[in-house]
Amino acid sequence: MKTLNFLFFISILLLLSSCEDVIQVTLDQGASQLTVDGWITDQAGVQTIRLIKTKPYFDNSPANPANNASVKVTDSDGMVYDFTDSKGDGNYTWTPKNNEKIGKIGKTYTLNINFEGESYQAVTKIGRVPAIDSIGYEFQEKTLQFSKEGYLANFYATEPKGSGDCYRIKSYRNGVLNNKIRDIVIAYDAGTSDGANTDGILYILPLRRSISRPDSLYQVGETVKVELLSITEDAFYFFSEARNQLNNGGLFARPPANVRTNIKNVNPNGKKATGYFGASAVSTSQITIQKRK
Amino acid sequence: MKHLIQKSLFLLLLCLAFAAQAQKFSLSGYIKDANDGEELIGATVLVKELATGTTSNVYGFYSLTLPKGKYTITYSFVGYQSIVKTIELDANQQANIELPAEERQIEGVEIVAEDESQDIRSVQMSVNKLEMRTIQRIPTLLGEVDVIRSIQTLPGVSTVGEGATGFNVRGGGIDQNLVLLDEAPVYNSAHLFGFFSVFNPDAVKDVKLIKGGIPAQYGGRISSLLDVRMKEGNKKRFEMNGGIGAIFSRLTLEAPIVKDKGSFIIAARRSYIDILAKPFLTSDLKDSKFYFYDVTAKANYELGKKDKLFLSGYFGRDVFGSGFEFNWGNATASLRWSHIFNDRLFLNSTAFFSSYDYKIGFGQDSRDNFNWGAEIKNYSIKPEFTYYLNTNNTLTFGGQSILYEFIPGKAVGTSGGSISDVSLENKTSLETGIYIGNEQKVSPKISMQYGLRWSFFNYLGAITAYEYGTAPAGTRREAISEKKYGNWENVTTYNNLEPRFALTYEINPKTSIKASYNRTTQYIHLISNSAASLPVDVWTPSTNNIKPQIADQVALGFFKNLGEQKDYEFSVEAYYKDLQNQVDYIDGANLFLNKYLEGDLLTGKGRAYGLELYLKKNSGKLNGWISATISRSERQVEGINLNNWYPNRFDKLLSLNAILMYDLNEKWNFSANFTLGTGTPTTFPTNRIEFDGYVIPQNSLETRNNYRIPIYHRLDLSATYTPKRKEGRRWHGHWVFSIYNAYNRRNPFSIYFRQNQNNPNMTEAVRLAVFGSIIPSVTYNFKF
Repeated sequence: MKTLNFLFFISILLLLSSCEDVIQVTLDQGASQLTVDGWITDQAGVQTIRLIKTKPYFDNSPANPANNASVKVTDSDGMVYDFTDSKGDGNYTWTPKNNEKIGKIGKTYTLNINFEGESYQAVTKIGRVPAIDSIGYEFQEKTLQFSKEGYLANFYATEPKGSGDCYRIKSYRNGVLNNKIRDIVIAYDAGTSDGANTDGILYILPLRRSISRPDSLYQVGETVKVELLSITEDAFYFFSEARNQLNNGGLFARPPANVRTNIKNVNPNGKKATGYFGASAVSTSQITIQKRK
Repeated sequence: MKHLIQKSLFLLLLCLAFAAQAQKFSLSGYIKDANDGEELIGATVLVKELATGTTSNVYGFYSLTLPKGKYTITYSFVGYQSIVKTIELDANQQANIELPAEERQIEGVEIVAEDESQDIRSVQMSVNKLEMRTIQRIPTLLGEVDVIRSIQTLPGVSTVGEGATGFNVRGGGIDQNLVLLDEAPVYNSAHLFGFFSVFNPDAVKDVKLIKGGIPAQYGGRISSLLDVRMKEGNKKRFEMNGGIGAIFSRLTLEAPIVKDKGSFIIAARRSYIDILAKPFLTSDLKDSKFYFYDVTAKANYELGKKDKLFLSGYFGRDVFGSGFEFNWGNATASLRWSHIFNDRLFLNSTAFFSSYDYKIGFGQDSRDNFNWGAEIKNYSIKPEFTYYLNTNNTLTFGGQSILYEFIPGKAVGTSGGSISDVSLENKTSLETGIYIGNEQKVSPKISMQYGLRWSFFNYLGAITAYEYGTAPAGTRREAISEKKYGNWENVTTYNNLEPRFALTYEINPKTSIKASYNRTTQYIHLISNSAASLPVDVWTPSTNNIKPQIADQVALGFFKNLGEQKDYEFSVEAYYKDLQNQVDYIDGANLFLNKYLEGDLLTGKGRAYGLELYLKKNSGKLNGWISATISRSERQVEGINLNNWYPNRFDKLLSLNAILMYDLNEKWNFSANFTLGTGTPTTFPTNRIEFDGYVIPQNSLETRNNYRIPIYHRLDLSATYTPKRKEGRRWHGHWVFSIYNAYNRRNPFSIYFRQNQNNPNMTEAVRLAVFGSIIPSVTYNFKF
């Protein structure tokens, strides 16, 4: 789709006059719903599940926290972890004692939330994740695609045999998470989509290269950190749909659609919730860019 | 079903028996242009004594059956001098007529009134014909005369916006139009997305759009038929046409093969922005490609008095590349044979091949690359008979068989040297139709056209057919079982009876009312879920999971000519359509390289209705037309919009077009085009979901197409300057100056929602206008 938009951009360039501008529109009123923004990992440290409430699309005020909820995560061994909102800002946290970790590959996790008289539940699982072999980089001259010279970094990892594993790839530049829409990078096996038959091979080039931004390549002295997170197949589709909705403009836009959620109200006729509760095992690798031609 | 067929056939035969009467003689032949020998479509033949007549068919052939006697026959056609002949009819006679062009006519300019009652008397309704000379005068984008953009000015025809491929007829999708170029279907009618169409105007002779009351000989699509006929080439002498414009350059050559017996035409176009831009490009852009071209060619030869052969073809391609390569295009080839068995029985037989394909390649590194492509190919034979039973009955019968081969996805990726082939299985299917129809003059005031088409469809192996389980409405259905079929093994069969009926009642020579009903079936579907269709959209046959689309349409019309010489013509038509098995998609459907695609499809029903008004001025220095359409096109699909009806993406409550042409003098003429339309529907969010630092739009009401983008309107102007032709010189040319979007309106194509680039917490609505400025252009056209 990106290529098509690029083509469209060229065509328009030929015709010299496309334009985009921000306009004012009035939207319908929708009911406010609970949003779960929660992701737990197999890493050490504080785990956070954020609960807020949806609000009108154009409401730019700070997020509306969902206070006074009871939040519990139960793993498939019956261990219960209580998450509490000590600051009253909607961030429900669990702090480990004695280097205890919640996440473990192969276990299933159930989130239970009681909020404003409704009971919500979400189930997820932690899948396997391969180690990152290395991060490589090479000098790249300025071209049409790369607007400034610099270093183009790739990570190398081989996806484990057995189809159906999904991943999210996060990258950090000098410790700061790359968090633009294009930084939502997900993999189905070693490819970008289901049915691409890429099981058990090196992650395909667009994924390996996804840690670099064509418009601002890495410079000497900068650090590049890559995290490879295992996610469920359902979470893969969640991110895929979210990415589509976040970037759904242009001539080839698809009909806007609501992004899926795995938060279910225990009462099927009860109030609906949004967001996602996920869990990941994480592999990490980091390097510092050195001068090289 | 069998019963119904028998009944219908019986009725048909009864009508025919009733129609067949006493011994008569026939008068038949071809009507041609005296200047270049080009056959004329729809020329009128009038018998003064009997106040009856006929028109030449799409091959220029006519036949009249009359009682023995002496007759005064008038042959006439728009823009040509009429010829009157006195004929003593005492045996079957052949009369080939050549009509000379009207003297006072300025090159490609005049619109002269045709036979004053043609549109009143003709039994066909919901038909729009555009003369090439008219199309050539409509102001255009960058001065390029364009068939598809021109038909968008007709009542009942619309588009979702600039740059969108194809056109929508009476609330139908773009894949519901059968676009024929010399009888071969064209699967993607656009160059450069939808900015230009694939038809080279210099090679087109005639354009006809049938929106309703579709005769039995046509089938396969449920909305409309766009019949584009190519020129045959000058039979008298060598001729060269061409043009130099802002986007394309065009060159057309035509010449006789053997004078008056055979001729050919070859027309080519290429865009040349890339060539012009080359010197200005930086080194890294030097190897980027962006161009498109097409070649249209046709040859014909008369084998004898009774046989004619035609060979025509089209090949076009759009090519883009810059670190990747992407190209797409159509190819068609048709061989046509027309044969006159006798003065009453005319056969036209066509065999054609047509294909559309695209290829995309990423990565030059042999260890890391991805190549992807898809194609639709088909082969067909189509014998069509016309039997001129008598003055009052013209019988048509025949059939068509189309063998389709779908290559829905051929894709091979290489990652770090490991190759993975993710190609989908090819699909094969056979579509067959047989039909019989009759056009009958029941009385001087009443004419009818009725017929029956019986269509069959076989979805064939070799293929793996899947069966899907159930899932909540609007969500993915998983495959639960699969079955493998061998080569040519039948997977599923469909068949449909398609009755067609049209009636005209002539109140007086200047007024008539018409009514029609038709059922049409469509067995192939374009899988497309974007605002505008993409070049990569894939066609799919009906399968064990995808049912054929069926449409029933009723239309009622009132036709009136005003003034002495049909100075004005006016029509109103109302229609209602009921649509079955419309294809829709689940949220997040995966349409590409997905072998379980059918599990992501939804099926619903549709309805469309509207009122079309059309007023055309034919005579005088100022002429043109105004068309207005008030319409609705809606859908109901389980799992979308809470199962309620919702407007289609191409629904437009109102659309209005006005085209005015003014001839100042022999040198200058001017034209203007104004278009206005209700904005198309779109879905706006209500709420925001904040997740992981992103702000995702959400519509908590779960409605589809709950808003409309603002109204669309645009004015285009053009002026044509034709310098005085020098005595004795064959070369002559004219200049076309045009201004597109004259008052610089930023018409929105879509409105979408995003986070502000600098402040991600701030959200905004963005209007995308495809054209944000005035677009002027100059084109020079020449003829030699």
